[in-house]
Amino acid sequence: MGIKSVMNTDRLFWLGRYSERVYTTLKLFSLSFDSLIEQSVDDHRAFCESLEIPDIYRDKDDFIDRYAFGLDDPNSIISNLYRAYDNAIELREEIGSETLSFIQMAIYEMKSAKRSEAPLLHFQKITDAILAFWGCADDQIDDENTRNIIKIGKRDRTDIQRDIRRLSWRICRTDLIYSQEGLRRLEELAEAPELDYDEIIRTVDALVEC
Amino acid sequence: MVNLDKLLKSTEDINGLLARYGVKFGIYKNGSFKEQLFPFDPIPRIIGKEEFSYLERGLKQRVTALNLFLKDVYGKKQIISDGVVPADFVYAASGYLAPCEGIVPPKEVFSHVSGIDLVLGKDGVWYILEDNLRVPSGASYPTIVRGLERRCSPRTFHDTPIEDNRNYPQLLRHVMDYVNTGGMNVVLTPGRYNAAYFEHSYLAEQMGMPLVTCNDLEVEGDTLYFTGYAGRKERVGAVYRRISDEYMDPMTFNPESLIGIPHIFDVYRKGNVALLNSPGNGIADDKGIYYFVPKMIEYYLHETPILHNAPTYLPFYEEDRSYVLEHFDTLVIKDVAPWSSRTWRRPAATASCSAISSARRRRSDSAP
Repeated sequence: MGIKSVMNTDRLFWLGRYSERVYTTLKLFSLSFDSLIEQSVDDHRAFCESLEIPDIYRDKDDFIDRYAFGLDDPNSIISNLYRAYDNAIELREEIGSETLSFIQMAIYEMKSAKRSEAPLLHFQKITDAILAFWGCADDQIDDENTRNIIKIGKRDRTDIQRDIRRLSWRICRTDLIYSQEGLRRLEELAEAPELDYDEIIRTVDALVEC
Repeated sequence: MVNLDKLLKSTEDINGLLARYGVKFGIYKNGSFKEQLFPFDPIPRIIGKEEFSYLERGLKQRVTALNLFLKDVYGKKQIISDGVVPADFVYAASGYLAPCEGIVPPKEVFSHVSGIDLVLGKDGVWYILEDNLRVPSGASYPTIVRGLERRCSPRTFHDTPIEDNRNYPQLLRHVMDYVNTGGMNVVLTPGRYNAAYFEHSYLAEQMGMPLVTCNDLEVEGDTLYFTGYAGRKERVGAVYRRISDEYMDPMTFNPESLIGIPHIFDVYRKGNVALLNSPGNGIADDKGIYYFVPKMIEYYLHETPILHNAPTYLPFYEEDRSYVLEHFDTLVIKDVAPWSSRTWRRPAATASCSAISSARRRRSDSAP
């Protein structure tokens, strides 16, 4: 469509960022939720620390309820999903009704999850909807600039942290010869107050001996 | 006969798809904004081909006359000087906008989108209930629903020849291109919390043009521009605006408007941008002027009106006043102020009405 307004550019960026945040936190939360099912010990604090969010939760049950579904908690998954929706709903003519529909479906599924005794089932469907949203964005948005702005927003700290954790987990299960020191350095970089993207890329490039 | 079985059974699926695509309308209740899904009614109002052609001819005739009236009333005012429409009914109406005097919009089109409400009487006659020539709303809903109906119940459409209505956005785009004064087309919305926001965004998507708010447009010199994020400016030649006249330009109309574009009316007056619909159209869909539309058709087109007004009496005229006083208990009494919903008595025989744009175009072998 060519020329893009300031507001829509901003919305595209935040749509990418919030959708990524929902996807990432949903995955992490689902893992925590699973481990909290049987645990008598309340260790939701570790989760808060790992995401650098304030621990405002009374206990495990309060954490499960409010971190997932607390509309008043700006860090909650539902808040992030609604922020993604707020941006998406004003971008119909940019991203198309089909792409937008996946965010809309994620909202409905989140409402179902809130009422359900088995929210993980619904979380899986939300994850599916977010993945479909990205796939649809790639497939159906003709304007390269629009796609790129969404993807720039899609990269955030938790995304990088998750990728580095995944890299650590995978690389030691391969035959690749890699630098232990480099891996430790990557984990430090991921936790640094300011992400140094260039340094992260250089460290990843030098990780494997060719 | 239309095979409705499959369509009726698909109601739940269609409503599910409407939810998926966010086909909603907004309402303000107890001071807060709420969005509601648009409920789908699977039972169609069937209009046979012959009957539809009749309605189409009548509506075209009416809208042509209304357009000529608008040109005349903001121009030479011959219909007033010839005594067909009393001056009082024009100048006292709130839909008459003095700043529009002398302005002829691009290609002389005042009403690009006309929402003419029709009602089928118990006597089997179609009547015009009212004309909406300012910011008519609602065309997107039957457009999107038709696609979903066809997806859920292809057999209904296979077995029955049904006129396709999904070209509405293309027709609207064609009209915008036709009146465009040079530059891009845009859809102007007051924003997300407008009741018809879905329609604004859907039509912008389907027409392939930006949906903009007042923050995206600015007037520089005699030209309207759309400003992009990198500071790039592009001239705007046509605006499909979904904002009422009084909020369009705070420098000409309501000075407290925060959703308008300062000086856009000056650009329009100079012929440098087309506004759809043209400001000032409210004079032609005024309830007092409604009475005179059949007379307009005869006056401007020298034709007999094809479609009838609902029988209407204007107490302004002695003969009508006598009739009204004699039949006061059986008549619907309406204030003639535009947009007024003041009705003091409901009709004895209530009939539902719908805009022709949302009436389903049906082609059927059976006579109406």
